[in-house]
Amino acid sequence: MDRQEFENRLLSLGGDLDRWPEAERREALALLGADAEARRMLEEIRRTDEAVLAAAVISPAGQLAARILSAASGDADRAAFSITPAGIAGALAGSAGLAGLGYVAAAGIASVVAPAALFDLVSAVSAGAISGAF
Amino acid sequence: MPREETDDDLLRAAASGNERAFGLLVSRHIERVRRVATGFTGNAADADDIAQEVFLSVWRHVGRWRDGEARFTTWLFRVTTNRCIDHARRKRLKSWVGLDRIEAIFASDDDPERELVGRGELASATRAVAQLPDRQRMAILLSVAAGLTNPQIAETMGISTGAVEQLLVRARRVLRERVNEPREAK
Repeated sequence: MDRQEFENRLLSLGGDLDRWPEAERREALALLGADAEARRMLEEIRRTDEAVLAAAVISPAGQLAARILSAASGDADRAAFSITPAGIAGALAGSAGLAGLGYVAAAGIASVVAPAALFDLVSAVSAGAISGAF
Repeated sequence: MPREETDDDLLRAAASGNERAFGLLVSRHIERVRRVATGFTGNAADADDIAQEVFLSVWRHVGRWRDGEARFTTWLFRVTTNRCIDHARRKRLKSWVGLDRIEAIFASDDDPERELVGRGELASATRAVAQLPDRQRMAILLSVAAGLTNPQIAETMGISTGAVEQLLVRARRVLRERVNEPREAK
């Protein structure tokens, strides 16, 4: 590995040599042992990556995780009790004398597709948040 | 000693409504998501809003998870990337119509750590990261703050590994100049 190649790999892989592919890391270490300019380049990129970490510094999360879990729990409750077209159809079926059958059908479908969840799913797919793989 | 549950184990449990499993996923990954969102937005409150949206989106769609098709972190950071870029677009729109100035009158960032960064030695570095184009900024944050490999970043951003390397090279070139230039020149 020459100095130019080392610089290209530094810019692409960053200054933490432990994260480099093993073969390239060995070649880089050999170069670093012999080339002061390469060592200077490495130091510059390490400072650069430290600056990125500094920009991403975070304070303790506080109650954030609890808020997320509480909201998720609320979602689950809403999904279980929400009124959906399927639920209305089930209720109508029940009033027509098919109460047992209607209730089971409505409850089953309502627990799977709540309006909020459906809206979020459509938004996420349209925003590319979920690919076909998911 | 019991085996630690993998992300896939927890996802399977969460998909069947297990809130404890979802809670473990949140606690396992929330820090990295917050770091990426904080670096991207430059604002702790916005980053926390994004983190909340990301995990709630995961919870709402966890039933669509298919074992072995992709890593959970790929999905997680893909959602994070989309939310961050959407946030940046909305912010630019607000700036264009002048809403940002009205909001600034009412908002105050009371995060002491970020205030320190804003005032201290690292202010110019933070500004330099904020000034990178969206995709370069996201690539460098996924690499450095989230610790993803270049192929993982490629999968997350939906581009080739070569394209990720180009983004990282450009981002590091700009940042290297800004971070390592003599102080009096800043």
